[in-house]
Amino acid sequence: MAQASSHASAKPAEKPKSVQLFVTCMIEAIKPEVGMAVVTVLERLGVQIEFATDQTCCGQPAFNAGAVPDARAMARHTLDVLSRSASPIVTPSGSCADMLVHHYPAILAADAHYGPLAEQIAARTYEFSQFLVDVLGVTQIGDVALSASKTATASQKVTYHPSCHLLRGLKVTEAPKKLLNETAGVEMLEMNGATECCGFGGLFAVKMSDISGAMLNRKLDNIEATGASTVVGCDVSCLLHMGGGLHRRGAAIETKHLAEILAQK
Amino acid sequence: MSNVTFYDRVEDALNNEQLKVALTRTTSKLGGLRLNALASLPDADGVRDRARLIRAHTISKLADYLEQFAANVEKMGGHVHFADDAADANRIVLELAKQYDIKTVVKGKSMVSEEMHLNHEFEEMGVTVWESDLGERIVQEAGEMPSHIIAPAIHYTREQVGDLLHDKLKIPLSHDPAVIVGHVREKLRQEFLVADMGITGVNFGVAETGTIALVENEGNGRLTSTAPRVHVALMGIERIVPTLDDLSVMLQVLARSATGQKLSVYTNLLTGPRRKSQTTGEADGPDALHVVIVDNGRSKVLGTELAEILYCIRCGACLNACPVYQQIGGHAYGSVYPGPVGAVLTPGLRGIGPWAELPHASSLCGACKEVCPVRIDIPRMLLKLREEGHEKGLAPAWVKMGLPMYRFVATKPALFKFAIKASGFGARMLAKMQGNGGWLNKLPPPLSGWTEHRDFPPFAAKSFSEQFKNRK
Amino acid sequence: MQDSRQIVLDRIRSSLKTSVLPMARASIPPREAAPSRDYAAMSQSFQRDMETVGAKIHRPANDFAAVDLVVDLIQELGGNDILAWDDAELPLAGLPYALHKAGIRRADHRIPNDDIGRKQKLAALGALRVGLTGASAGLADTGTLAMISSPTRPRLASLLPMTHIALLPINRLYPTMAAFFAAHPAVTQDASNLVFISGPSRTADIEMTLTVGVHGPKYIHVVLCP
Repeated sequence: MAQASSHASAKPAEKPKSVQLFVTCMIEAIKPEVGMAVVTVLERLGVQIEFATDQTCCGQPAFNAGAVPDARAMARHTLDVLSRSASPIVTPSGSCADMLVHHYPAILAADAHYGPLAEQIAARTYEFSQFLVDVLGVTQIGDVALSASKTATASQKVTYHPSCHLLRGLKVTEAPKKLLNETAGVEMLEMNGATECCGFGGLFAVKMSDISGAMLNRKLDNIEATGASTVVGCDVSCLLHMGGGLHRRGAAIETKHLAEILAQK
Repeated sequence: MSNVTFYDRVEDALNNEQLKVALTRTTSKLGGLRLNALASLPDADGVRDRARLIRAHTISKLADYLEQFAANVEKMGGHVHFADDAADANRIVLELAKQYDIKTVVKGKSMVSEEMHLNHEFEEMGVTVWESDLGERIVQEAGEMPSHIIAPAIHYTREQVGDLLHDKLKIPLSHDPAVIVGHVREKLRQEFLVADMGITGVNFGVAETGTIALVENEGNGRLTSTAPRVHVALMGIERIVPTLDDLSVMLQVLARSATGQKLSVYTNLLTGPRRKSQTTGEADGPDALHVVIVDNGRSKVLGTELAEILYCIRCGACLNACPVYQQIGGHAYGSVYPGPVGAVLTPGLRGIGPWAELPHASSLCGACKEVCPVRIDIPRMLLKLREEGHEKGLAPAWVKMGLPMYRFVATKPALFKFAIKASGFGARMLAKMQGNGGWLNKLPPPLSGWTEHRDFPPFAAKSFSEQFKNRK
Repeated sequence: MQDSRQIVLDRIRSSLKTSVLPMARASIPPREAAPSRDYAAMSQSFQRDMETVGAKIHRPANDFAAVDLVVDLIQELGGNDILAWDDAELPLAGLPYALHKAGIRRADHRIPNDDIGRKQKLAALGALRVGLTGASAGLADTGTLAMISSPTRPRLASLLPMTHIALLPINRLYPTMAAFFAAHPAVTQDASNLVFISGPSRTADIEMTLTVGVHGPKYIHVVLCP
């Protein structure tokens, strides 16, 4: 029933001065540079970063495994952490944002305290590119705040992989492409079957490894066919999956989160 | 079902090079045709919304509409039978065959008859059954099940079809679809004209008129419901629409989603048998019409959070769009209904027990929900089934043990930080031993699934929290 | 067994008490009225869609030309014996006489009630190469013919032969199927069969390769009668 993005009405009246960063466990443990890039970009845009150090994992792996009580426990913890501040929440992951925005309210609907809290948090949670374009109104990376990226010299050939939960869960289709297209020094190359899943799917990649691997191979063929040197995405998990496949192939293509491209000097 | 597991079938499918070729050719083509066809519909989104409203409303009053439908079929001279399950449905059809002294049956496409294994029952009884839909006939001659709801032989190449039909139907050998179809026409025409009973499925039953809508492209459905003296139509209990106007809405999205046509070649609206009244009666048509309305688990599904799957109009769009179906095809699912819809319907109808893997055979990418003409939220129900499987202890042991640990750690921030440090340390030690520049190319079970197809990147030396704290 | 009916209906009613049915409403809101019938636009749309699926559309200037066209078509196809709707059902006044003059004979299309007679008649009709029918309606937005069965309108005329010639008066065009149903609410009560035909019989069951003429007509000629 969540047909449109749930933020259509929840867009803040004025541009927020500070945001809470929900960094995600993947970035915390494996790709902290993505988190730092997010900080860099947001600070250049004049937004202060609040970071609660007791945040952990949103609980999506448990939810997707069908372990709803476990997912609820992690959701309650995350809601406790995020509700201490009234600032909007920004997370550099379409999938974790989708969990907070759509699944928290659903799995906590019957909870008198956390149900309404989940609704409140959902209404002010944004995926990174969505926040930049829909809330801050950044359409051009070459403007004052992000002028640093304009000085990039070498032309960088990139292709964009829209991750499924960003695309079909949050319905964020244009924002990342818009940002990439407007970034100086970046050339966007279209990918065949761009909207097809890379095969990650959390535990799916481990439990149904062969199917996942076949999906990954098709995705990697399409990536290689673009001639790009970098695959850009908005979900570290999918990027890890594709990056792991590219490394296994020995392909000289790197994976980057959108924030890393935007933060380039 | 034998001891062959879902994983065995998946392995067979993934190793089948011909299947890979056939699936790539067909699913992508159908997907593209669908997009063009929807673009030809003014306000396609509005029509889909209305189609969804119609399905939701109808299912919410299903018993009333079924009673109205049955009464109207009977008023128009047809007979209506309700079947509780597949065995009941078989008993009804076989009794009709006896009653009418039937020796030969010609069949149109019917997924319900697949649920019933009807052909097998007829063979036991000594009645000859001819499938008349080309795709169904191909799988019948091959002794297989359909691998796609609307394109049963989607897994075959033209060469395989030519060889098979040459061998089984004794038609001249050819690998040219047009030539094969020409020979099949001649061969099957003889069957249509002598068959005693025609059996078809039903796409929609119209409650207000007692009309059966049967949608097809070949003309086999028309012949099956016109030439033999008895027509038996098999329908699932959920296949109802209230009015002719509602039917016209459903038809606007059905063919577009299924085959990319604006309308299928033949939309047959059948209301009662051949009219015998007045002086002469109608020129042709069956002397008797029997509608068998089959439950077979559906009313049980209706009482659960999976009820939305009963909105399905069997267009097959979710199969074509599904990246998992595109890799493994229909047979790997092991059930009558493959693909995303099958992954919900099969455990719903038959119980989660033997089908616990199916809801996990999805990356939850949401492509199925996106293409569904009536916007069925299949991912929501896959998650619901995973929940049921988890509650019933059907998950693998490592998942069952791992999840509580994970929950324990993830709700205690200090422990969480420590666990990340420890994992990073362990991963670095392992990576050092593997000498792959920090990447892991072999992980121990159960994580070995990951490294079968991809490497795992190095953990960061310093976590984000540490870097953020120490910056500048 | 009658009691299966009660068992199934009772179980449905009991399940509906706990059903989760997203978007279920007590009723479905009414639709906007069908668009008005613009015959020129409808003919154009009908023709385009029919031709897209491989049917041939003829638009003779007047009835005389239409009669000549139909007779020529049948003779070209070598069908001296055809499977046709009755005279009164063919919307071209001069056609029956012209067919007679050209030596084209209409087969007796009535299927007998007995089993042996039925099969003999089917075999005989199955050998005919041309079917000639009127059309109860045409749907403009999909390029579709509607045929309603009756004592004088056999279903088989548009089904058994390899070629189907249909005569459609332009004033029987409707913009959509919904508009046709709205204009003829009792259409399904008067006949056992209403079939919508959108092009030649076809299949794509072999590698999604489109192939026409599977079990029904391979060639369709629609004569749009002024």
